[in-house]
Amino acid sequence: MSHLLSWITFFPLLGIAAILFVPKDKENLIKWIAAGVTAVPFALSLYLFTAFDRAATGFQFVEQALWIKSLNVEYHMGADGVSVLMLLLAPMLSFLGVFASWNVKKMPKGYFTLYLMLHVGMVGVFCALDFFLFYVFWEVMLLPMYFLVGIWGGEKKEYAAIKFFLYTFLGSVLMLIAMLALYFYSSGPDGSLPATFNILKLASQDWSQYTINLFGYSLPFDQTIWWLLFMGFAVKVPIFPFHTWLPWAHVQAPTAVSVILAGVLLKMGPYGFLRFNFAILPHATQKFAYAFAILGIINIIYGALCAMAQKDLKKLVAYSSVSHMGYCVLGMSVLTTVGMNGAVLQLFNHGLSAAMMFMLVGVLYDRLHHRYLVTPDGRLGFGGIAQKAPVITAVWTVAIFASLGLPGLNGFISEAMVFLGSFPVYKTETAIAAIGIVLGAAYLLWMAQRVFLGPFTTLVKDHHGHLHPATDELVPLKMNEWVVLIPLGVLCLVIGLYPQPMLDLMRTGLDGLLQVLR
Amino acid sequence: MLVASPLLLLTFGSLFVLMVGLWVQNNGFLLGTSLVALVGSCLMYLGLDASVAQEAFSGFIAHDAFGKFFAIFSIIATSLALVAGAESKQIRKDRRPEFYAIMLALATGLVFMGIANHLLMIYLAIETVSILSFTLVGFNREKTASIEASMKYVVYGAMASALMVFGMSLVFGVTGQMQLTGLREFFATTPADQIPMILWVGALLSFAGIGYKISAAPMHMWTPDVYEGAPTPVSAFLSVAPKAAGLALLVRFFVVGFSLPLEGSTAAIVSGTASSLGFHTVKPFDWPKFLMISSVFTMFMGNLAALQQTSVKRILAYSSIAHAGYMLMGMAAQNELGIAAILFYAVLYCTMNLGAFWVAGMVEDAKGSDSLGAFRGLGKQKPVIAVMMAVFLFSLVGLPPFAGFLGKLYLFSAVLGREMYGFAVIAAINSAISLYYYAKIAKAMFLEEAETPLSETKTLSIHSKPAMWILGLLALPNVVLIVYWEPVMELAKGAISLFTGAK
Repeated sequence: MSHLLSWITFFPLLGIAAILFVPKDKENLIKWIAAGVTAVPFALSLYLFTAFDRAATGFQFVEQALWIKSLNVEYHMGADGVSVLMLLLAPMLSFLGVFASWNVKKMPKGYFTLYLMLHVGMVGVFCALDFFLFYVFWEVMLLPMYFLVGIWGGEKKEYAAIKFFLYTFLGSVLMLIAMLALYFYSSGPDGSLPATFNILKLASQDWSQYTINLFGYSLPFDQTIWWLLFMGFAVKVPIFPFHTWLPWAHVQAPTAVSVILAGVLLKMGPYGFLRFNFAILPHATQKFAYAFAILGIINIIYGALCAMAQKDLKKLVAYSSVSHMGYCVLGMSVLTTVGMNGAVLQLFNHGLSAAMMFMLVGVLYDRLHHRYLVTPDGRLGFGGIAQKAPVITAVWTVAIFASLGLPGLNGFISEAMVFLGSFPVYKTETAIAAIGIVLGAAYLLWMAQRVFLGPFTTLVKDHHGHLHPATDELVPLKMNEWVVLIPLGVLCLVIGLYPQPMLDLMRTGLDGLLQVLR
Repeated sequence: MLVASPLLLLTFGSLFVLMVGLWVQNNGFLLGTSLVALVGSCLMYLGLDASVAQEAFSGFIAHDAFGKFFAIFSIIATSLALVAGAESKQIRKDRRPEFYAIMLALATGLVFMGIANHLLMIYLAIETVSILSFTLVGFNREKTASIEASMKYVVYGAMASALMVFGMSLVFGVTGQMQLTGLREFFATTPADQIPMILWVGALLSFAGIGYKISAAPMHMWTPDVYEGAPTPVSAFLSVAPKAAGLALLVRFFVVGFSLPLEGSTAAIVSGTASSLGFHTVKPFDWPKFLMISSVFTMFMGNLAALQQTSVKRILAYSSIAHAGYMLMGMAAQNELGIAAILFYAVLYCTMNLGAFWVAGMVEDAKGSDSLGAFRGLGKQKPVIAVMMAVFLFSLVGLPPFAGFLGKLYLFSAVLGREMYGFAVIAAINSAISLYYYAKIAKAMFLEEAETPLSETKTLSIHSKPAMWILGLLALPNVVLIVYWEPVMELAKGAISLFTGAK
């Protein structure tokens, strides 16, 4: 099938066109259009997953055409093992997210228009092989996200939305400078080559021979650019201390948008590191690998400690994302096969388990209208939910155990691989990072205990904002919620038992990269 | 003399509308006549061949692709502002004839700014535009704010003109030349150590006059008060057309007057046949560095001051200061890409800023205020207008996929092509700062509810069809240009071939 990646990326634009002509009050039609136009990319991404040749190296399904001649910008799409994995995750969550947004009441037309725009940006990022194209996709996603959080979010939505926007935009303008600097230097020391944005051509050059002049100081070119790119991607990961937007945005966003944020947007940071910092600037990467590892460890421990201190269930899940992304950073920093594979698999796994957790927080919020682990006046907000809603509790349990890394579920495989990879390289540091596993078990199990076990003391918030003890049964899981939760839960289990297909797939992408880095 | 024919048409148009307006109060007829004059002169310019650089009227004006580009640009921008004024309630019905006449005369002044090749002509062109702008700003003479704005504008304008004339007299005193091409010949033939320092002082003082027109720091102080007090269509016009014309003048003044081609003779550059791809400044006068400092200050002044504003017109005024700073980046880069980027950006900036001001004017007409509060809930009340406003605002931020990004991309490229990394980082940080206040307007429109819900009877009376069409026309390039923008950039590059000799 030709132009497969373009179809996966741009198909939802048809949905936008269709939705614009649907009258405002036909909410169900709008939702089904959104579901339909995201189902197609999802189906195509499954085809991509099966059709991808795991024996071959390099990029497949390549589409390449000259776009802007005077700048040598190309429309260049392609996928390697890592992108295929991400391209499985992003369209899937985009499709499932439509069902997670099923009970959006406020302006569904605007919501789904923005939602589909978001799809184009986030899927395009994983296909683009031209830095310019990548940058455009990267930024296209900001505006829909700003409005999705800002209009459909919780009480503090305005602050959360602008904070997300400002952080990411500052990171990306610095990335823009790095992009243009690479572009100008790509013409070679004597200026004989045509300057290019082509990521593959950029990766084949030796950048360590140049120096640049910043405010009168002479700095090595590749290291400076490495940090400029780092700023762009670190905000997205997020790496401490650029993470402060995350608890706000994730908590205030509506459920489906939290799912997308945690499941897909955070993955763009590590993906960007692999595609740009690691592949284009390997010398600088080797130089800064240790700093990178330390940042990862800070994320693991700091995120876990913050999660433990939260009084808001969704904030706890948000900080657990910070901690879990720390494993990716640590795994990437060791520059070995096991570590890298673990890191990329952790990306995928966190995409599943965090999406599931956010969905489940949404399920509880939908029924109880609050998220207090501890209310402002000091009472416990939840308690004994297992007695009244055993099914919801069972699904929660899967998500919790997948997230804390129970053997047999997906989180275990990737975290174990990260540690197996990092231990030979950084012994003490890995030992410290392993505390994160214990902390992770601690905050998740403590949360599970407070929310699901014990006598039923759950509070419910009424229309006036007062909390009082819940008396009714919790409404069982609805069809749209099942649609979201079943595939995620099943995948958690399948990858936990048999991760080999995923590992085979990503190896095609990572092997070449590792050769460069050694 | 063919060269002057579009200008003659504009002048006659202006006089005709002024005279006939005394007897005929038919608004449609006068508007139509004015537009005919504008469109006619635009078409005449399109028909003129400017592939070879020429001088006319004993070297007072230049006729070249660059001048043609800005002449057409100025006329189109004036036409749009004219229609905006005709649609707005802020220009009283009985004063429309004068408004049209002044706008036509202003267009003439703007075109002269783009083609002036002689210090006297530069002065005359700037004064023509300034004096007519003073009257436009004070057009609502019942409103104190309008008169105050006009007064401030006059005082600052007089100051800037005085500095400029003084500077020009110094330049003339040292070189004995009034023509910009003559200045270039003077520098080509005079050794650097024989040029007295006072010449550079003169050049910088001349910049005061031009900097005032484009509101570059430190000559930017008048901008927010004037834009706030003036009728909104006039503010929209002032933020776009004189600024672009001022930039054109700035480019011509420094690049023709105070630079030398990298290779090849002066004569080759003047006749447009040199093969070199760049220029260097007249040693030891490092005007790009000076413009860089001005650019940095202008950006920070505009962006930081805008953060705290609550009036949308004032926000846009400070934003227009910041944009003057961005566009000066192209001059500071001192290469052909930078100058082409200025032209490219000026065109895009015209669409987005005119659009944003237009919407601000509509809201002010309908709600009687241009505060952020008046914009609350606009997303629900007038979704189409609000979405277009959002497009304009985020294009001003420079956020892909909107066209403002492409403009910034080229400006950044020009600067980074000269390896000015620190400058680029400062500009990037400024872009990020600016996001906050543009997003503040978007937030008011979409994230907040209207304070007083508009009842059915008091809907926004901004549904005039032509206005909507023109707004759409302004928004369109901001959205679609990302798909393919090469022709626009080629146009800009073609227009500057005079300076670089590149074909």
